[in-house]
Amino acid sequence: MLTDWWTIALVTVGCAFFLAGTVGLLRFPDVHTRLHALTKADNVGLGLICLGLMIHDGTLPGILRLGFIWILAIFAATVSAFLIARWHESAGTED
Amino acid sequence: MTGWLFSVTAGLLFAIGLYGVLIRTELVRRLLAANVMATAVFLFLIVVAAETPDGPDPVPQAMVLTGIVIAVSLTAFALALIRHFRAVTGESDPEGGDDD
Amino acid sequence: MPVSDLLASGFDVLLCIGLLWLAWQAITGTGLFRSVVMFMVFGLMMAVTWARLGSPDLALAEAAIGAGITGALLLNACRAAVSEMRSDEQPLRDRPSGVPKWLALPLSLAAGVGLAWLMHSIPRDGGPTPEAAIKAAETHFLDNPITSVLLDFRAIDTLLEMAVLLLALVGARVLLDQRRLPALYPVPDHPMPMLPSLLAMITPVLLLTGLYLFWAGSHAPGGAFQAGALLGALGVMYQLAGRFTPTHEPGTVNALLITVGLGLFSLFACLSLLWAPAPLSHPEQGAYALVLLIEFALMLSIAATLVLLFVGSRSLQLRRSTNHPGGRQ
Repeated sequence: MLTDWWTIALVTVGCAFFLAGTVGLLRFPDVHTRLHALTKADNVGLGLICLGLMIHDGTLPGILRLGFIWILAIFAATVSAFLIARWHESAGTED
Repeated sequence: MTGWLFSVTAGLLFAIGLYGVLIRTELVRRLLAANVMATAVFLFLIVVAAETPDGPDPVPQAMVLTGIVIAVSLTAFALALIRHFRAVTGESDPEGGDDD
Repeated sequence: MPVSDLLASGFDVLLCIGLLWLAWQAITGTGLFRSVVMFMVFGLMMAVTWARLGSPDLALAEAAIGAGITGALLLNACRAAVSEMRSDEQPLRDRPSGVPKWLALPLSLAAGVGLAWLMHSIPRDGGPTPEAAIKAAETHFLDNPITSVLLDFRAIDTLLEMAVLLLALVGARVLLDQRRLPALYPVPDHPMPMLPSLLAMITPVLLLTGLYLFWAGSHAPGGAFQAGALLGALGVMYQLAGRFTPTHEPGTVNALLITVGLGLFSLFACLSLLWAPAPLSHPEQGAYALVLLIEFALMLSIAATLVLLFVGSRSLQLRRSTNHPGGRQ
């Protein structure tokens, strides 16, 4: 029962990060600040949700899989953020 | 409830796709609209499959799986056709003519 | 109504609103790039919808093909549209079409609502599949009913589908060759930093996932199409990172890869007449191994064809190759 509450708390906080990231994505003025907002949602938000689901799952294969999902998403987010920023620099245009 | 909701969504998606095909003249956008129409039809099939009394019906699912692959090959072919068309005429929509 | 049902319904409503909004944005929005991105997100939402409607196989295929490969193709089209435009032409402007909006809107709404009503009034008792087919699927040697439909009951559909895929590639090649349109991704002069390291990490993961999906297809969600799409996505990433060189000489490995699926499947269709009265029937013994072999060939062909459709060149060669001399795709 206690683990359920942990799960609910962690997933809720993770969703809050996603919400904040989305608001940032929509409201921030330029590419770099928007990327900054996105990374919060991707890395921390997804990490917290995965952590909450790990507690809920409780089995070793499930925990490993969820951790793997998180790591993969972080790698992909890093590279895509880099590529977007680089494209923005090379294009040299406003947004 | 679920079936009703997704049926209506599929119908509206079909309407949006058809509207796009009718009013957009830029070719890539028209292709997008046709793809939305295709997705609406897939959604219809899967709603029917999901509402079958004993579990999801595999036949519509297999049909839609086939349909998704066909849709991507058609999209790729149509995009090649659009590039070809643009190379021939220098226009990105077929109704442009010589008015400019 | 219990809370969980209410939450599920709320989720469905959100999903449907999201789908409609994204489709509307993709079609009526200004700017082609924006439309394409909206369409890709629409594809991902569709994947969630398939999962919600109990079709994980479709969710996998939609995420990999519908959102992934189609999105990459459309982004390619944006690039081509910008780079191949005449200098005096307005960028991607939309001319008023022959159909006025006041006519198009009610017309399409009527069509959509009519279709929805029609589909909703279809009787759901028993579904479109006959009872006998469902029973046969339950005792089939392939535990995943969708795979058994694709590779046994309706194998002819899958065979023809492979033919369509090959035909699309051949057609696209003919069109692009005729105007001497170049492949869209010339090799970048200087490789992007970070992409090689991402590739080094993602290659084993995607290979493993693709092969797992292929292997799992006989008893769980997955199969040749999802696996092929995933490997195709890997090929697209290799192309983006400049690891493939588009060439004009038709390569043997490339030609073999794009035809092996259709070829093997057709060969099986002919050979099956030796042991059964109708083509595409499976033999008593060794049917499982045969299905695996055919699925493997289909997977390779789907992956190779999707990559070549993306690049738009006749064949590809792997650069700085370490383990596959002569080109992988």
